[in-house]
Amino acid sequence: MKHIKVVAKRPFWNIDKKHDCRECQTPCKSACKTSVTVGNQVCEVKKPIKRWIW
Amino acid sequence: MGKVFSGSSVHPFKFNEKFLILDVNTGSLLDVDEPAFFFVEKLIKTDSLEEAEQETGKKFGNAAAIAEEIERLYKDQLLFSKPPNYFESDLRLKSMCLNVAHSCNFACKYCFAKQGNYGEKTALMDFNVAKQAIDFLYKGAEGRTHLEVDFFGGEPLLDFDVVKKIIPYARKTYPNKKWRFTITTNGALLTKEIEEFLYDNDVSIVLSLDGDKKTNDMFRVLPNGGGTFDVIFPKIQYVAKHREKSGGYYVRGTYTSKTMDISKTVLDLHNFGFKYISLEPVVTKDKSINIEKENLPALRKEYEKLAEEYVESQDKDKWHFFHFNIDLEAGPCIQKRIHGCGVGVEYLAVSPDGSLYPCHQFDGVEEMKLGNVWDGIKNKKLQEQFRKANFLFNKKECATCWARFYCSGGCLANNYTMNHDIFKPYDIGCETQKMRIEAALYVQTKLREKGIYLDTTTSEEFKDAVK
Repeated sequence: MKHIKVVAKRPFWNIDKKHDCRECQTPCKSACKTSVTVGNQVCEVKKPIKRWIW
Repeated sequence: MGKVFSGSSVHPFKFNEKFLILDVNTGSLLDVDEPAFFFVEKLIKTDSLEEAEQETGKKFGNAAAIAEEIERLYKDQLLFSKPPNYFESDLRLKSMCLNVAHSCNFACKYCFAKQGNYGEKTALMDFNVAKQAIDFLYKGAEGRTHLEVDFFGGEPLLDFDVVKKIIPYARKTYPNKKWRFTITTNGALLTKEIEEFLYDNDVSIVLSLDGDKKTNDMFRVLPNGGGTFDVIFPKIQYVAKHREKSGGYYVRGTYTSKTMDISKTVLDLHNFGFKYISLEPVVTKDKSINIEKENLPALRKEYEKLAEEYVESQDKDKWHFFHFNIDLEAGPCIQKRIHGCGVGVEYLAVSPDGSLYPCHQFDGVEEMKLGNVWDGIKNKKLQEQFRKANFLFNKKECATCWARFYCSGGCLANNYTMNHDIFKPYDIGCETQKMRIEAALYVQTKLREKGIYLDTTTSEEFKDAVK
Protein backbone atom coordinates (compact mmCIF):
# COMPACT_ATOMS: atom_id res chain seq x y z
CA MET A 1 0.00 0.00 0.00
CA LYS A 2 1.21 3.45 -0.87
CA HIS A 3 -0.46 5.65 1.68
CA ILE A 4 -1.22 3.29 4.55
CA LYS A 5 1.06 0.94 6.44
CA VAL A 6 -0.45 -1.70 8.73
CA VAL A 7 1.46 -1.65 12.02
CA ALA A 8 -0.62 -4.28 13.79
CA LYS A 9 -3.53 -6.25 12.52
CA ARG A 10 -4.53 -8.95 14.90
CA PRO A 11 -8.07 -8.46 16.24
CA PHE A 12 -8.92 -8.52 19.92
CA TRP A 13 -9.81 -12.04 20.83
CA ASN A 14 -13.45 -12.87 20.55
CA ILE A 15 -14.10 -15.63 23.04
CA ASP A 16 -17.05 -17.74 23.99
CA LYS A 17 -18.47 -18.26 27.48
CA LYS A 18 -16.46 -21.38 28.29
CA HIS A 19 -13.23 -19.49 27.55
CA ASP A 20 -14.07 -16.42 29.63
CA CYS A 21 -11.34 -17.43 32.07
CA ARG A 22 -10.70 -14.07 33.81
CA GLU A 23 -7.43 -15.46 35.14
CA CYS A 24 -5.37 -12.44 34.13
CA GLN A 25 -4.06 -9.91 36.58
CA THR A 26 -6.29 -7.36 38.29
CA PRO A 27 -5.02 -3.97 37.04
CA CYS A 28 -4.67 -2.49 40.51
CA LYS A 29 -2.32 -5.33 41.41
CA SER A 30 0.12 -3.94 38.90
CA ALA A 31 1.95 -0.68 38.86
CA CYS A 32 -0.95 1.71 38.68
CA LYS A 33 -2.90 1.60 41.97
CA THR A 34 -5.00 4.62 41.08
CA SER A 35 -6.21 4.10 37.53
CA VAL A 36 -7.51 1.24 35.45
CA THR A 37 -4.93 0.03 32.97
CA VAL A 38 -6.44 -3.05 31.41
CA GLY A 39 -4.84 -2.16 28.08
CA ASN A 40 -1.42 -2.43 29.71
CA GLN A 41 -2.01 -5.93 31.01
CA VAL A 42 -1.06 -9.23 29.44
CA CYS A 43 -3.25 -12.24 28.78
CA GLU A 44 -2.69 -15.01 31.28
CA VAL A 45 -2.97 -17.69 28.61
CA LYS A 46 -0.74 -16.03 26.03
CA LYS A 47 1.82 -14.22 28.15
CA PRO A 48 5.43 -15.34 28.06
CA ILE A 49 6.44 -17.67 30.84
CA LYS A 50 7.80 -15.46 33.56
CA ARG A 51 8.36 -15.86 37.20
CA TRP A 52 6.81 -12.55 38.11
CA ILE A 53 3.44 -11.02 37.59
CA TRP A 54 4.63 -8.31 35.26
CA MET B 1 -29.46 2.81 10.40
CA GLY B 2 -26.09 3.81 11.90
CA LYS B 3 -23.19 5.23 9.97
CA VAL B 4 -20.91 2.80 8.13
CA PHE B 5 -17.83 4.94 8.71
CA SER B 6 -18.50 5.88 12.29
CA GLY B 7 -16.10 7.95 14.39
CA SER B 8 -16.64 5.62 17.33
CA SER B 9 -15.05 2.74 15.43
CA VAL B 10 -11.82 4.51 14.41
CA HIS B 11 -9.53 7.01 16.07
CA PRO B 12 -7.30 9.08 13.77
CA PHE B 13 -4.67 11.00 15.73
CA LYS B 14 -1.44 12.85 15.22
CA PHE B 15 1.37 12.20 17.65
CA ASN B 16 4.72 13.91 17.11
CA GLU B 17 5.52 13.47 13.40
CA LYS B 18 3.19 10.52 12.87
CA PHE B 19 -0.35 10.25 11.56
CA LEU B 20 -1.87 7.13 13.09
CA ILE B 21 -5.28 5.50 12.91
CA LEU B 22 -6.53 3.05 15.50
CA ASP B 23 -9.30 0.72 14.44
CA VAL B 24 -11.12 0.66 17.76
CA ASN B 25 -13.00 -2.62 17.45
CA THR B 26 -10.00 -4.77 16.52
CA GLY B 27 -7.06 -2.84 17.94
CA SER B 28 -5.49 -2.75 14.47
CA LEU B 29 -3.11 0.17 14.05
CA LEU B 30 -2.33 1.99 10.80
CA ASP B 31 0.51 4.37 10.06
CA VAL B 32 -0.70 6.70 7.30
CA ASP B 33 0.46 9.71 5.32
CA GLU B 34 -1.22 13.11 5.60
CA PRO B 35 -3.60 12.71 2.61
CA ALA B 36 -4.86 9.35 3.88
CA PHE B 37 -5.33 10.84 7.34
CA PHE B 38 -7.32 13.70 5.84
CA PHE B 39 -9.36 11.20 3.82
CA VAL B 40 -10.34 9.19 6.90
CA GLU B 41 -11.29 12.34 8.80
CA LYS B 42 -13.55 13.37 5.91
CA LEU B 43 -14.97 9.86 5.69
CA ILE B 44 -16.03 10.02 9.33
CA LYS B 45 -17.62 13.41 8.76
CA THR B 46 -19.49 12.59 5.53
CA ASP B 47 -19.95 8.79 5.79
CA SER B 48 -19.37 8.75 2.01
CA LEU B 49 -16.32 7.35 0.21
CA GLU B 50 -17.09 9.46 -2.86
CA GLU B 51 -17.28 12.73 -0.93
CA ALA B 52 -14.15 11.94 1.07
CA GLU B 53 -12.30 11.13 -2.16
CA GLN B 54 -13.45 14.36 -3.78
CA GLU B 55 -12.47 16.57 -0.84
CA THR B 56 -9.10 14.84 -0.43
CA GLY B 57 -8.52 15.19 -4.17
CA LYS B 58 -9.14 18.93 -4.00
CA LYS B 59 -6.50 19.38 -1.30
CA PHE B 60 -3.88 16.78 -2.21
CA GLY B 61 -4.53 15.82 -5.84
CA ASN B 62 -5.95 12.52 -7.06
CA ALA B 63 -7.14 10.44 -4.11
CA ALA B 64 -8.31 7.35 -6.00
CA ALA B 65 -5.42 5.24 -4.71
CA ILE B 66 -6.25 6.16 -1.11
CA ALA B 67 -9.91 5.27 -1.64
CA GLU B 68 -8.83 1.90 -3.02
CA GLU B 69 -6.58 1.21 -0.02
CA ILE B 70 -9.29 2.18 2.42
CA GLU B 71 -11.86 0.02 0.71
CA ARG B 72 -9.49 -2.93 0.90
CA LEU B 73 -8.81 -2.37 4.60
CA TYR B 74 -12.54 -2.05 5.22
CA LYS B 75 -13.17 -5.35 3.44
CA ASP B 76 -10.40 -6.99 5.47
CA GLN B 77 -12.00 -5.58 8.66
CA LEU B 78 -8.92 -3.60 9.61
CA LEU B 79 -10.64 -0.24 9.38
CA PHE B 80 -14.17 0.73 10.43
CA SER B 81 -14.54 -2.87 11.53
CA LYS B 82 -17.62 -4.37 13.15
CA PRO B 83 -17.89 -4.46 16.95
CA PRO B 84 -16.52 -7.64 18.55
CA ASN B 85 -18.85 -10.18 20.15
CA TYR B 86 -19.08 -9.76 23.89
CA PHE B 87 -21.26 -10.65 26.85
CA GLU B 88 -21.45 -9.69 30.50
CA SER B 89 -19.10 -11.95 32.44
CA ASP B 90 -19.95 -13.68 35.67
CA LEU B 91 -17.61 -11.69 37.91
CA ARG B 92 -16.44 -13.53 41.01
CA LEU B 93 -13.91 -12.73 43.69
CA LYS B 94 -10.27 -13.40 42.76
CA SER B 95 -8.23 -10.60 44.20
CA MET B 96 -7.83 -8.83 47.49
CA CYS B 97 -6.01 -5.86 48.90
CA LEU B 98 -5.02 -6.38 52.51
CA ASN B 99 -4.69 -2.93 54.04
CA VAL B 100 -2.57 -4.36 56.83
CA ALA B 101 -1.59 -0.98 58.26
CA HIS B 102 -3.79 2.01 58.83
CA SER B 103 -0.65 3.81 59.80
CA CYS B 104 2.36 5.27 58.05
CA ASN B 105 5.86 6.42 58.87
CA PHE B 106 5.55 9.10 56.15
CA ALA B 107 3.14 12.02 55.84
CA CYS B 108 2.95 12.51 52.06
CA LYS B 109 0.99 15.65 51.31
CA TYR B 110 -1.20 14.21 48.56
CA CYS B 111 -2.00 10.88 50.24
CA PHE B 112 -5.55 9.67 49.55
CA ALA B 113 -5.28 7.56 52.70
CA LYS B 114 -5.04 10.75 54.77
CA GLN B 115 -1.39 10.18 55.75
CA GLY B 116 -2.00 6.47 56.13
CA ASN B 117 -4.81 6.02 58.67
CA TYR B 118 -7.70 6.59 56.20
CA GLY B 119 -9.19 9.14 58.58
CA GLU B 120 -9.63 6.49 61.24
CA LYS B 121 -7.78 5.37 64.35
CA THR B 122 -4.27 4.12 63.65
CA ALA B 123 -4.41 0.31 63.44
CA LEU B 124 -2.52 -2.77 62.28
CA MET B 125 -4.21 -5.92 61.00
CA ASP B 126 -3.70 -8.93 63.24
CA PHE B 127 -3.01 -12.42 61.94
CA ASN B 128 -6.53 -13.72 62.65
CA VAL B 129 -8.11 -11.02 60.46
CA ALA B 130 -5.60 -11.69 57.69
CA LYS B 131 -6.23 -15.45 57.94
CA GLN B 132 -10.00 -14.92 57.81
CA ALA B 133 -9.51 -12.68 54.75
CA ILE B 134 -7.52 -15.39 52.95
CA ASP B 135 -10.18 -18.00 53.82
CA PHE B 136 -12.87 -15.61 52.56
CA LEU B 137 -10.98 -15.05 49.32
CA TYR B 138 -10.51 -18.78 48.78
CA LYS B 139 -14.20 -19.51 49.37
CA GLY B 140 -15.33 -16.70 47.09
CA ALA B 141 -12.98 -17.68 44.30
CA GLU B 142 -14.30 -21.13 43.51
CA GLY B 143 -13.22 -22.20 40.05
CA ARG B 144 -10.38 -19.69 39.85
CA THR B 145 -6.79 -20.82 39.42
CA HIS B 146 -4.95 -17.59 40.22
CA LEU B 147 -5.66 -15.67 43.41
CA GLU B 148 -4.03 -12.32 44.08
CA VAL B 149 -3.22 -10.54 47.31
CA ASP B 150 -1.72 -7.09 47.61
CA PHE B 151 -0.30 -5.81 50.89
CA PHE B 152 -1.04 -2.15 51.19
CA GLY B 153 -1.45 0.63 53.71
CA GLY B 154 -0.44 3.09 55.10
CA GLU B 155 2.90 1.41 55.16
CA PRO B 156 2.49 -2.39 55.07
CA LEU B 157 6.00 -3.07 56.37
CA LEU B 158 4.84 -1.68 59.74
CA ASP B 159 2.95 -4.98 59.94
CA PHE B 160 5.59 -7.19 58.36
CA ASP B 161 5.15 -9.97 60.94
CA VAL B 162 1.64 -10.58 59.61
CA VAL B 163 2.81 -10.36 55.98
CA LYS B 164 5.50 -12.91 56.76
CA LYS B 165 3.05 -15.34 58.34
CA ILE B 166 0.11 -15.00 55.98
CA ILE B 167 1.99 -15.83 52.75
CA PRO B 168 2.96 -19.37 53.85
CA TYR B 169 -0.49 -19.75 55.43
CA ALA B 170 -2.22 -19.12 52.10
CA ARG B 171 0.11 -21.33 50.08
CA LYS B 172 0.13 -24.22 52.57
CA THR B 173 -3.59 -24.15 53.36
CA TYR B 174 -4.72 -23.83 49.76
CA PRO B 175 -1.99 -25.43 47.64
CA ASN B 176 -4.38 -26.04 44.73
CA LYS B 177 -4.37 -22.31 43.97
CA LYS B 178 -1.66 -20.26 42.31
CA TRP B 179 -1.09 -17.40 44.74
CA ARG B 180 0.37 -14.11 43.60
CA PHE B 181 1.49 -11.56 46.14
CA THR B 182 2.41 -7.92 45.73
CA ILE B 183 3.49 -5.35 48.30
CA THR B 184 3.35 -1.59 47.87
CA THR B 185 5.86 0.14 50.12
CA ASN B 186 7.59 3.46 50.62
CA GLY B 187 10.75 1.44 51.21
CA ALA B 188 11.90 3.10 54.44
CA LEU B 189 11.67 -0.07 56.52
CA LEU B 190 13.14 -2.39 53.90
CA THR B 191 16.10 -4.44 55.03
CA LYS B 192 18.17 -7.03 53.22
CA GLU B 193 16.34 -9.76 55.16
CA ILE B 194 12.91 -8.43 54.25
CA GLU B 195 13.79 -8.14 50.55
CA GLU B 196 15.22 -11.65 50.60
CA PHE B 197 12.02 -12.99 52.14
CA LEU B 198 9.90 -11.18 49.56
CA TYR B 199 12.09 -12.33 46.68
CA ASP B 200 12.25 -15.93 47.83
CA ASN B 201 8.46 -15.98 48.20
CA ASP B 202 7.83 -14.51 44.72
CA VAL B 203 6.35 -11.31 46.08
CA SER B 204 6.32 -8.52 43.50
CA ILE B 205 7.12 -5.13 44.91
CA VAL B 206 5.91 -1.62 44.08
CA LEU B 207 8.29 0.99 45.45
CA SER B 208 7.02 4.55 45.83
CA LEU B 209 9.38 7.24 44.59
CA ASP B 210 8.34 10.43 42.78
CA GLY B 211 11.59 11.26 41.01
CA ASP B 212 14.83 12.98 41.96
CA LYS B 213 15.39 14.42 45.43
CA LYS B 214 13.82 17.79 44.66
CA THR B 215 10.71 16.30 43.02
CA ASN B 216 10.27 13.51 45.54
CA ASP B 217 10.70 15.67 48.63
CA MET B 218 8.14 18.22 47.50
CA PHE B 219 5.29 15.91 48.57
CA ARG B 220 6.77 12.75 50.04
CA VAL B 221 7.77 13.90 53.49
CA LEU B 222 8.31 12.57 56.99
CA PRO B 223 5.86 13.51 59.77
CA ASN B 224 8.35 16.24 60.81
CA GLY B 225 8.20 17.72 57.30
CA GLY B 226 11.68 16.53 56.30
CA GLY B 227 12.33 14.95 52.90
CA THR B 228 12.26 11.18 52.42
CA PHE B 229 14.53 10.75 49.40
CA ASP B 230 17.74 10.19 51.33
CA VAL B 231 16.04 7.62 53.56
CA ILE B 232 14.52 5.50 50.80
CA PHE B 233 16.75 5.88 47.77
CA PRO B 234 19.53 3.46 48.80
CA LYS B 235 16.93 0.86 49.78
CA ILE B 236 15.02 1.14 46.53
CA GLN B 237 18.30 0.92 44.64
CA TYR B 238 19.17 -2.21 46.55
CA VAL B 239 15.88 -3.90 45.60
CA ALA B 240 16.23 -2.87 41.94
CA LYS B 241 19.78 -4.23 41.86
CA HIS B 242 18.75 -7.44 43.60
CA ARG B 243 15.98 -7.95 41.01
CA GLU B 244 17.94 -6.65 38.05
CA LYS B 245 17.71 -9.90 36.12
CA SER B 246 14.38 -11.22 37.37
CA GLY B 247 12.24 -8.08 37.33
CA GLY B 248 9.29 -8.28 39.71
CA TYR B 249 9.47 -4.67 40.82
CA TYR B 250 8.13 -1.30 39.75
CA VAL B 251 9.34 2.10 40.90
CA ARG B 252 6.07 3.98 40.98
CA GLY B 253 5.68 7.73 41.37
CA THR B 254 2.82 10.18 41.63
CA TYR B 255 2.82 13.44 39.73
CA THR B 256 0.86 16.58 40.47
CA SER B 257 0.32 19.88 38.66
CA LYS B 258 3.38 21.14 40.55
CA THR B 259 5.57 18.25 39.36
CA MET B 260 4.32 17.82 35.85
CA ASP B 261 7.65 17.55 34.04
CA ILE B 262 7.09 13.82 33.74
CA SER B 263 9.55 13.31 30.89
CA LYS B 264 12.38 14.48 33.13
CA THR B 265 11.06 12.50 36.10
CA VAL B 266 10.80 9.22 34.19
CA LEU B 267 14.20 9.67 32.57
CA ASP B 268 15.73 10.58 35.94
CA LEU B 269 14.36 7.35 37.38
CA HIS B 270 15.75 5.42 34.44
CA ASN B 271 19.12 7.13 34.80
CA PHE B 272 19.17 6.03 38.44
CA GLY B 273 19.26 2.49 37.05
CA PHE B 274 15.61 1.51 37.41
CA LYS B 275 14.22 -0.61 34.58
CA TYR B 276 10.54 -0.83 35.54
CA ILE B 277 8.96 2.55 36.03
CA SER B 278 5.46 3.87 36.41
CA LEU B 279 3.97 7.26 37.17
CA GLU B 280 0.36 8.16 37.90
CA PRO B 281 -1.44 11.48 38.28
CA VAL B 282 -2.71 12.50 41.69
CA VAL B 283 -6.52 12.57 41.82
CA THR B 284 -7.76 14.96 44.43
CA LYS B 285 -10.29 17.72 45.06
CA ASP B 286 -7.34 19.95 46.02
CA LYS B 287 -7.14 22.15 42.93
CA SER B 288 -3.70 23.47 43.88
CA ILE B 289 -2.11 20.11 43.01
CA ASN B 290 -4.70 18.21 40.94
CA ILE B 291 -4.25 17.97 37.16
CA GLU B 292 -6.77 20.45 35.79
CA LYS B 293 -8.01 21.11 32.27
CA GLU B 294 -5.52 23.95 31.77
CA ASN B 295 -2.63 21.57 32.52
CA LEU B 296 -3.50 19.15 29.73
CA PRO B 297 -1.66 20.83 26.80
CA ALA B 298 1.58 20.93 28.79
CA LEU B 299 1.09 17.35 29.89
CA ARG B 300 0.64 16.28 26.28
CA LYS B 301 3.93 17.94 25.37
CA GLU B 302 5.57 16.00 28.19
CA TYR B 303 4.20 12.72 26.81
CA GLU B 304 5.41 13.64 23.32
CA LYS B 305 8.88 14.33 24.61
CA LEU B 306 8.98 11.25 26.78
CA ALA B 307 7.75 8.99 23.95
CA GLU B 308 10.48 10.28 21.65
CA GLU B 309 13.24 9.88 24.22
CA TYR B 310 11.97 6.49 25.31
CA VAL B 311 12.13 5.15 21.76
CA GLU B 312 15.59 6.66 21.31
CA SER B 313 16.94 5.10 24.49
CA GLN B 314 15.70 1.57 23.69
CA ASP B 315 18.62 1.11 21.31
CA LYS B 316 21.01 1.17 24.25
CA ASP B 317 18.96 -0.27 27.05
CA LYS B 318 15.68 -2.19 27.30
CA TRP B 319 13.56 -0.69 30.01
CA HIS B 320 9.86 -0.37 30.70
CA PHE B 321 7.64 2.58 31.27
CA PHE B 322 4.34 1.03 32.32
CA HIS B 323 2.13 3.35 30.24
CA PHE B 324 3.86 2.26 27.04
CA ASN B 325 3.39 -1.47 27.69
CA ILE B 326 0.65 -2.09 25.19
CA ASP B 327 0.70 -5.39 23.40
CA LEU B 328 -0.54 -4.76 19.89
CA GLU B 329 -1.13 -8.38 18.95
CA ALA B 330 -2.15 -10.08 22.16
CA GLY B 331 -2.95 -8.36 25.43
CA PRO B 332 -6.20 -9.04 27.23
CA CYS B 333 -9.19 -10.60 25.47
CA ILE B 334 -12.31 -8.60 24.74
CA GLN B 335 -14.09 -9.87 27.86
CA LYS B 336 -11.37 -8.45 30.07
CA ARG B 337 -11.39 -5.20 28.16
CA ILE B 338 -15.07 -4.55 28.77
CA HIS B 339 -15.13 -5.23 32.50
CA GLY B 340 -12.83 -2.74 34.12
CA CYS B 341 -10.82 -3.76 37.15
CA GLY B 342 -13.52 -5.78 38.90
CA VAL B 343 -13.68 -3.37 41.84
CA GLY B 344 -16.24 -4.38 44.46
CA VAL B 345 -16.85 -7.81 42.92
CA GLU B 346 -13.67 -9.47 41.63
CA TYR B 347 -11.52 -7.25 43.78
CA LEU B 348 -12.06 -6.21 47.40
CA ALA B 349 -10.06 -4.38 50.04
CA VAL B 350 -9.87 -5.41 53.67
CA SER B 351 -9.17 -2.88 56.43
CA PRO B 352 -7.29 -3.86 59.61
CA ASP B 353 -10.57 -4.52 61.48
CA GLY B 354 -11.76 -6.91 58.75
CA SER B 355 -14.20 -4.54 57.04
CA LEU B 356 -14.65 -5.08 53.31
CA TYR B 357 -14.57 -2.19 50.84
CA PRO B 358 -14.76 -2.20 47.01
CA CYS B 359 -11.06 -1.28 46.73
CA HIS B 360 -8.20 0.29 48.66
CA GLN B 361 -9.29 3.77 47.63
CA PHE B 362 -12.70 3.34 49.28
CA ASP B 363 -11.28 2.13 52.59
CA GLY B 364 -12.77 4.13 55.47
CA VAL B 365 -15.66 5.54 53.40
CA GLU B 366 -18.64 4.44 55.51
CA GLU B 367 -21.22 4.49 52.72
CA MET B 368 -18.95 2.22 50.67
CA LYS B 369 -18.57 -0.49 53.29
CA LEU B 370 -19.65 -3.82 51.77
CA GLY B 371 -19.40 -6.09 54.80
CA ASN B 372 -16.68 -7.92 56.68
CA VAL B 373 -14.50 -11.00 56.35
CA TRP B 374 -16.55 -13.02 58.87
CA ASP B 375 -20.07 -12.37 57.59
CA GLY B 376 -19.19 -11.67 53.96
CA ILE B 377 -20.99 -9.14 51.76
CA LYS B 378 -23.80 -7.52 53.76
CA ASN B 379 -24.58 -4.62 51.43
CA LYS B 380 -25.56 -6.64 48.38
CA LYS B 381 -27.32 -3.68 46.80
CA LEU B 382 -24.07 -1.72 46.78
CA GLN B 383 -22.16 -4.67 45.33
CA GLU B 384 -24.76 -4.92 42.58
CA GLN B 385 -24.11 -1.27 41.73
CA PHE B 386 -20.41 -2.02 41.39
CA ARG B 387 -21.13 -5.09 39.28
CA LYS B 388 -23.10 -2.89 36.90
CA ALA B 389 -20.54 -0.09 36.90
CA ASN B 390 -17.74 -2.52 36.01
CA PHE B 391 -19.46 -3.30 32.72
CA LEU B 392 -18.18 -0.77 30.22
CA PHE B 393 -21.43 -0.41 28.29
CA ASN B 394 -23.37 0.59 31.38
CA LYS B 395 -21.53 3.93 31.35
CA LYS B 396 -22.99 6.12 28.65
CA GLU B 397 -19.84 8.17 27.99
CA CYS B 398 -17.67 5.05 27.76
CA ALA B 399 -19.82 3.09 25.31
CA THR B 400 -18.74 5.14 22.28
CA CYS B 401 -15.35 6.43 23.44
CA TRP B 402 -12.43 5.38 21.21
CA ALA B 403 -10.31 4.46 24.25
CA ARG B 404 -12.92 2.05 25.66
CA PHE B 405 -11.00 -1.17 25.07
CA TYR B 406 -7.83 0.17 26.75
CA CYS B 407 -9.06 1.90 29.91
CA SER B 408 -12.10 -0.40 30.12
CA GLY B 409 -14.30 2.27 31.59
CA GLY B 410 -11.81 3.88 33.93
CA CYS B 411 -11.39 3.98 37.68
CA LEU B 412 -14.64 3.95 39.67
CA ALA B 413 -12.84 5.27 42.75
CA ASN B 414 -11.70 8.32 40.78
CA ASN B 415 -15.28 8.78 39.54
CA TYR B 416 -16.47 8.70 43.14
CA THR B 417 -13.74 11.02 44.44
CA MET B 418 -14.33 13.65 41.78
CA ASN B 419 -18.02 13.23 40.85
CA HIS B 420 -19.45 11.33 43.82
CA ASP B 421 -20.91 8.91 41.28
CA ILE B 422 -19.21 5.66 40.25
CA PHE B 423 -21.05 5.70 36.90
CA LYS B 424 -19.89 9.18 35.91
CA PRO B 425 -16.40 9.17 34.35
CA TYR B 426 -13.90 11.66 35.72
CA ASP B 427 -13.26 13.77 32.62
CA ILE B 428 -9.66 14.84 33.31
CA GLY B 429 -8.80 11.23 34.11
CA CYS B 430 -10.26 10.26 30.71
CA GLU B 431 -8.11 12.88 28.98
CA THR B 432 -4.89 11.74 30.65
CA GLN B 433 -5.72 8.12 29.82
CA LYS B 434 -6.28 8.96 26.16
CA MET B 435 -3.01 10.84 26.06
CA ARG B 436 -1.03 7.92 27.42
CA ILE B 437 -2.73 5.41 25.10
CA GLU B 438 -1.89 7.57 22.06
CA ALA B 439 1.68 7.87 23.32
CA ALA B 440 1.90 4.10 23.80
CA LEU B 441 0.60 3.39 20.28
CA TYR B 442 3.12 5.85 18.86
CA VAL B 443 5.94 4.24 20.86
CA GLN B 444 4.99 0.77 19.66
CA THR B 445 4.87 1.95 16.05
CA LYS B 446 8.30 3.56 16.28
CA LEU B 447 9.81 0.57 18.04
CA ARG B 448 8.57 -1.72 15.29
CA GLU B 449 10.22 0.47 12.71
CA LYS B 450 13.45 -0.27 14.57
CA GLY B 451 12.59 -3.98 14.81
CA ILE B 452 12.20 -3.80 18.59
CA TYR B 453 9.42 -5.77 20.24
CA LEU B 454 8.90 -5.16 23.95
CA ASP B 455 8.60 -8.19 26.24
CA THR B 456 4.85 -7.79 26.33
CA THR B 457 4.61 -8.95 22.76
CA THR B 458 4.16 -12.62 23.24
CA SER B 459 4.61 -15.77 21.30
CA GLU B 460 5.95 -16.31 17.83
CA GLU B 461 2.45 -17.18 16.74
CA PHE B 462 1.47 -13.53 17.14
CA LYS B 463 4.56 -12.16 15.53
CA ASP B 464 3.76 -14.43 12.58
CA ALA B 465 0.24 -13.06 12.43
CA VAL B 466 1.44 -9.57 11.57
CA LYS B 467 3.92 -10.52 8.89
